Amino acid sequence: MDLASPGEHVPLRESHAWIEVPIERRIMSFFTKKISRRMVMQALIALPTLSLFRGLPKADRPDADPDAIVEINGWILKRSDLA
Amino acid sequence: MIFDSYEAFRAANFTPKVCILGSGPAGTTIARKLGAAGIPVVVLEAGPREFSDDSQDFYRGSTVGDPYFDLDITRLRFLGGSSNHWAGWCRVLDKQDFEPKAWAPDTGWPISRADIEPYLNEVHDILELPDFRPDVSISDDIRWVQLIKSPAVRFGEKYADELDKSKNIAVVLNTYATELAGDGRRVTGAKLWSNGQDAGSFTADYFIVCTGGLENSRLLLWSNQRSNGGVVPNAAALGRYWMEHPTFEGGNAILADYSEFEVDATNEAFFSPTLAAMERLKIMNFGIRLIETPYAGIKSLVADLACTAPDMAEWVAYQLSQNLRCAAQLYVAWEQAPLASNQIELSKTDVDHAGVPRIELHWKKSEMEHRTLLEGLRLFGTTLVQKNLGRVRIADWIVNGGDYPTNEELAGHHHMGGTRMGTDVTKSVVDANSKVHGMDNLYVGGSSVFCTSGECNPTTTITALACRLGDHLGKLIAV
Repeated sequence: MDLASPGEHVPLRESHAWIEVPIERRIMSFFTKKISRRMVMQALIALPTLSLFRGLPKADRPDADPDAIVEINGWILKRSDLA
Repeated sequence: MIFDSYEAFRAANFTPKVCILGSGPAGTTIARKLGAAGIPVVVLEAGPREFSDDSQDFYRGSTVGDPYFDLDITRLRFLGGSSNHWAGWCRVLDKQDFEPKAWAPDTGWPISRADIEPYLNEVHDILELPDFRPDVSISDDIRWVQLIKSPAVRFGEKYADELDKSKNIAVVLNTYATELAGDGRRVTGAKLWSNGQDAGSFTADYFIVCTGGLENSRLLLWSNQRSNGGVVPNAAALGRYWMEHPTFEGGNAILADYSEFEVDATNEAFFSPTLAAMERLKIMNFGIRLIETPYAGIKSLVADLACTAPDMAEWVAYQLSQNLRCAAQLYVAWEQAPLASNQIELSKTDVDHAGVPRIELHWKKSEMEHRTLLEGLRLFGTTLVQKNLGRVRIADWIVNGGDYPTNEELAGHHHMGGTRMGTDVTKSVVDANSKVHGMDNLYVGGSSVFCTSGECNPTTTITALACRLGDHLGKLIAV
C-alpha cells in the first residue's frame, strides 16, 4: 500500500478556521472536492501505521550514527534496523 | 534410627546432645555432619514420611501486599521438607551477592563466598552435581552464567536408609516443637507436639532451627513472645527482611544464531549482570532465562517487529521459513532489595491445631525492583545489539510501568530472610556462625539466614551453609 501523507488527502490543518467547522461539514467537503472513497479509505488505513513512525529516529538522517542503540515500542534496536 | 512418634523415641533411651528441628536440606545436612563427627543428634520432623493433607494444614497462612502463593502450597511438611518439590536447579550465590552495595541499604553479609567455597565439594556430592563452570563474559555488562539442573535430590528419599541405620542420628517423625523456652542466654527446653497431641517437654545442649524460610521466623517469633524475649533477646530484625525471587516473563528476543549461546539440555541459557553494571544503574542482581519460543509465539513477534523494523522482520521470516531457531522468550528472576517492611508476623486471629498463630506474610515489591527488571532487560538487549547477537523486545507492561501480571509465575517459591545473618543486632538475628545473637546454644539453618538473595535458586547455598554450620558445631561440641 502506498503510505500517502495525510496532508495530501486530508487537509485538516489548512487553516485555523477549519478546526471550528463541524465534522459533518468537513467530511462533506472532501466529497465536494471529488476525492474518491478509495483514496479516503487508503488514507484512513495508513494513519495508524504512520503514527507508529512519528516518533522514530530518522534512520537515513546523514548525521545519525547507524550503530546507535534506540528503543522503540519496547524493541532495543540499532538505528540502522529502522531503514 | 527413625521413629514414628516422640513416645517411641523416648522408649529408645537415646540421649542427643543436639536437637535439630526440621529434616529438609539444612536439617538433614547438619545432622549427617554431626552424626559423622560422633555427636548424637535428634531430628524432629513435624510431618510424616510421606505427604499428608493433615500435616500440610499447619502451613496455612495469609499474605498482605502483593499477590503470593498460598502458604500451604509453597512449601512441604514431611520428611525431606521442601526438597520434595524443588526443581533441582543449582547455583551458588555469586561473590558479589555477599558484598555490601552502596546503592542498596542493608546489603552485605558478615561472611564472603570464600567462607563457603571449602564446602562446595561436599555440596556437589549431596546434590549430585557436576562441577560448575565459570561465568562467561558476553559484554562489560552481561555474563553467561551456568545454572545446573540437577536430579533434584529429595533428602527424605535419598537419606532415609542412612538415617535409619545411623547410631548417632535419631529422626522422630510427626513431632515438632510448638515453642522453645529460653532465659535470654540459653534455650532451656522445647514444648513438643507429636501425632496431634501435646508430648511434653524436651531439652538438649544445643538447638538448631531448620524448619524453612517461613517457619523459622514463625517458631522464633512465637517462642520469643511466650518467653518474654528469652529466645531471641535482640529481636528487632526477627521476621523482617524477608525476600523472594519475583519471576515474570520480561519479553522476547530474536537471535541471529541460537547456537551462539551455550544452552542446556532443555535449550535454555541464563544471563546475569556484572557488578559494574549493577553499580552504574543502581539495580539489584537478576537472571534472564532464555527459552526457545514455540512457533505460534513467533508469528505475533514478527508482526510486531514488522511495524518497527520491516527489513529485520523480513529476515526473521526468512529464518523461520528455513526452520531455523531464532526466537526466545525471556523470563526474568531478580534479587529483591532487603526491606524491613517485608516481614513475617504472627496472625492475631488465626491459629493452627496446636494453638500456634499462623503466619501473616507482608510482602511487596519495591520501585527498585521494577527498575532492576526494566534496566536488566535493556542491558541484555543492548548487549545483543552491540555484539550483533540479536534483538530484544521488552514487554509493554514493563516499559509503561504497568502492574505486574497476576497470571504468571509470580516468584520462585524461594523463602529467604527473616532471621538474617549480620553483626548489627538491630538488623540481624544470627551471627556469622548462624548463632542467634545473645544466645549460647541456639542456631538457625536454612535460607532464613540469607542477608541478600542474589538471583539464583537458594538450595545449593543452603546446603553449603549447612555443611559449614555442621562443621563449626562438630568442632565446637567435640571440644
